[in-house]
Amino acid sequence: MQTIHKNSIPFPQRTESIPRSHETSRRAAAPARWGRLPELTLISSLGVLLVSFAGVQSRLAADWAALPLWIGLLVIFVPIAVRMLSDQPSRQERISLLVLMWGMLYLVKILHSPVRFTFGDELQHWRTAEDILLTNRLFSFNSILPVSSFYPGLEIVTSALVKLTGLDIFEAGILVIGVARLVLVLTLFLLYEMVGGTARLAGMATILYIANPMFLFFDAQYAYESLALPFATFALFLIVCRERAKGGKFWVLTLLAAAIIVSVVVTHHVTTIMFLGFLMLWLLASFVVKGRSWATTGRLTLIFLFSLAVSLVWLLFVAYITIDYLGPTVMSALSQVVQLIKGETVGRELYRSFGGTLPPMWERVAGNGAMVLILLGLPVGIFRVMRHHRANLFMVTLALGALVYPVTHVLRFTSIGVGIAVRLQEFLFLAVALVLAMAIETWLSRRLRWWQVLMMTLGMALIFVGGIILGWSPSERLPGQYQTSSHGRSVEPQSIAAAEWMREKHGSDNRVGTDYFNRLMMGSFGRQYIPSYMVDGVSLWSVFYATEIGPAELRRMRQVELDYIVADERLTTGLPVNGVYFEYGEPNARAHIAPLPPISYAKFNVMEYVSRIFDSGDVIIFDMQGVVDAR
Amino acid sequence: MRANLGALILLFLVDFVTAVLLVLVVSEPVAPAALYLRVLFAVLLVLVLPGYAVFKALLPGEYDAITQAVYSVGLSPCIALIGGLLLHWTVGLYANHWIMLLGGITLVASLVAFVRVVLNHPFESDTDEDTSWEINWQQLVTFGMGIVVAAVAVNMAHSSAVAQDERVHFTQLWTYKSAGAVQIGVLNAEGQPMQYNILAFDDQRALIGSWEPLVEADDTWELEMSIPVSNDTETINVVLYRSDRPSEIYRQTRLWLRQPLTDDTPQRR
Repeated sequence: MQTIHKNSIPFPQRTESIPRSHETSRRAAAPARWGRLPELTLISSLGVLLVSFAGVQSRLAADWAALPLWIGLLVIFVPIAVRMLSDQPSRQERISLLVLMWGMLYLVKILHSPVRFTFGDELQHWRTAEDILLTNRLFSFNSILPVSSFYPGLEIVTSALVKLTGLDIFEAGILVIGVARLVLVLTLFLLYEMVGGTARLAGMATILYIANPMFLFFDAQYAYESLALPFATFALFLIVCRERAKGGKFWVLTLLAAAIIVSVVVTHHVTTIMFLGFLMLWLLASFVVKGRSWATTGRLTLIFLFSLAVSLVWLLFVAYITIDYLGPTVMSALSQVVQLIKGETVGRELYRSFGGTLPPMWERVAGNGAMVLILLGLPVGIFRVMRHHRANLFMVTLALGALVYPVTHVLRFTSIGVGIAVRLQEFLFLAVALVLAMAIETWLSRRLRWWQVLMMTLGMALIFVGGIILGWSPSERLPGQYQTSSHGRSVEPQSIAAAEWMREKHGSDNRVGTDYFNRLMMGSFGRQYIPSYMVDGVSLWSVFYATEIGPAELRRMRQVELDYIVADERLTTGLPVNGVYFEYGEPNARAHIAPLPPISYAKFNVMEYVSRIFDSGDVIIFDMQGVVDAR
Repeated sequence: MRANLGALILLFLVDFVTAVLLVLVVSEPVAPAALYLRVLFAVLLVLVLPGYAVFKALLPGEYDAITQAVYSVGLSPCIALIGGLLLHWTVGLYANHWIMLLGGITLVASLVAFVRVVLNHPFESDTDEDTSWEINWQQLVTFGMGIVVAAVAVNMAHSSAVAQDERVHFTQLWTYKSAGAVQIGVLNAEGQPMQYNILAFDDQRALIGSWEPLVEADDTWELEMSIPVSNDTETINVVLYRSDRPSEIYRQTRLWLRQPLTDDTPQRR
């Protein structure tokens, strides 16, 4: 087992020493440093090929396409995880294996959407990036996600790349997110290695982090968290380095950490909140950990206060809209939890999608199994931390952070809270992964029998598979034919063509009322203004749900000065995969049991002064100016 | 000393890439090779080089490859981000401003790093590099096969996605008022040339125009029609038929020519 002297080396430098005088043996040993990397590259690429095959079959509507997907994912993950458990790989091989895992799992996301962004969040950020490219300025108004333009970190980097390379936003975005994920994986390894002391522990912890529910798809999409989270882990890495540095290096690292913290704040609100929360926990732990120094507490206090000050300045002077954006969701989720505890509401049925479908039994078993395994592993890991590392402040902080994991699962029983619970995983796993790796290390300290290796491999595979099941709904894991309100399957050529027609024939910034996914396409590809409750204080869902347009509906349309309505007839034939047709306040949101009634759109065909100006079969555009502008 | 030489060579390469990119951006090349070179160098300038140069300028000791890589790709987006904010508050995020900002930071930082490495500054670490990039031919072949298989997987997924898009067939029909006339148009996205039959009626169902355009795949057909002068005409209804299904209305639009005089709730019509 390789070790580093954690108190004497301020940077993760070399962990194994080969004397320079032994150049000959060094040369002979060099290819061995790659260990099993070449073979594992070939094996994992076969896994990627299987995933690609699954995608091809899914696009052809094969209902067995999930099978090669799961086999492919396991072929990528399991061999590398097994190798990480072994004590044979060098540090170089472990890092190379993590880079391999990074590349292959990022390919899984790219294979899902290889020609354009198809996840809803990606279109929202695409619009912000395009605004920057068109205006050469930041903070343009983005009606499909107003908060996005006030956290433009991702889009700034993308626009620099687009301006200098000539690539389009999709290609540049893939590059930026790819590099960000590489930073995430490598900084996590270095951080865990510094804190835990061995490359083996760090490798296992990083692999377990990769198994978190949001890693494969959510944090690989073109959205602000995908860049902010790597920045946050890099900042933590720099702060830990700084704690171990002296003299000039201390101040240099302080400067770099400050720059990265500013980048986190400018890139994503939730990551900023989580980062502040972690710093606060770290600070509190510094008061109670045995052998602490007041100097450490003082330095952490300054970092925390700096981070808090930057966050508040950004929030109050630039991104004040964040409060309106996050506040209602958090309050609704908390309210539902309170109601659940009081017994005033029935809990949400776990695993049932918002489209009403239940995944296969084995998926539910695997999801629960992963949760149970993590819940069983946490006490073991925490016990090991408290027994062997109680003077290691950062390790104790991570152990405390891991205690939050079980609590978040209460939120999964509420319809709004489930989104928050899942969204917390990528942050909590920073702590959970190391604590679980500590638990595994309990057994690694002795020589393993084959069945013990098998059990551990199965455990890690279960956490990986269960994570994907918990984090991403079945129909959205693979590309495929059109589905109603589905990430990955609702962004398709007919709607995109309608949005582009709108932009070409009627210009941008017309006020367009439409459903959840057409609003994303009209707002991005079409560059239209999409009225919303958050910005305009008016919800338009009642305009669609009403059997006929009455004074109340007309008032709403006039309040937002609606120009056009885009109707998608396919909404009248399927339940929404993401739970809503229009927005979260609509009747039966996240609990629809029947498709949208045909009258929702049919009524516009027979209304006086409403022109049906566009028809492409499924997508119809109505010009509402005749009734909205009438005075 | 050997590691210092390596650092100096790398810093020279950083400056070389920056200088070439500057020329490529300013000269706006059209040759494919120059364009590819521009993409490659620009990706390096945004995502790798500023971070590496700043890291070497501020912490010029010897570090292992992984640490240098993390600082390079971790700091570079951060430099672009903070630089982007500064550009927004000053001269704007134009391409030439980006190249001056990122290129300037990279050149200045690499100059500082160059001086500090040469001066063998006091921060220098006492560790030596143990990472070896040597690889034997069997490993190279195996590794190469893995890359090829992954490339095949990407190509397969890309072709499949493009083919799926091509399987989505539709026809757009539009009618709208513009510049005192009625614009009627058709986009054929059926994947093959289409013969359409288009009829326009007024609200009394009187035929006011008919056309039989043959529209190539992915092509459009457009027509400008003057607005009927009769005061009785309130709407223009346009109906599109496919020539292979002449009895079935395929697309239809309806255009109101006037607006209501009052703001009463509109009636069913």
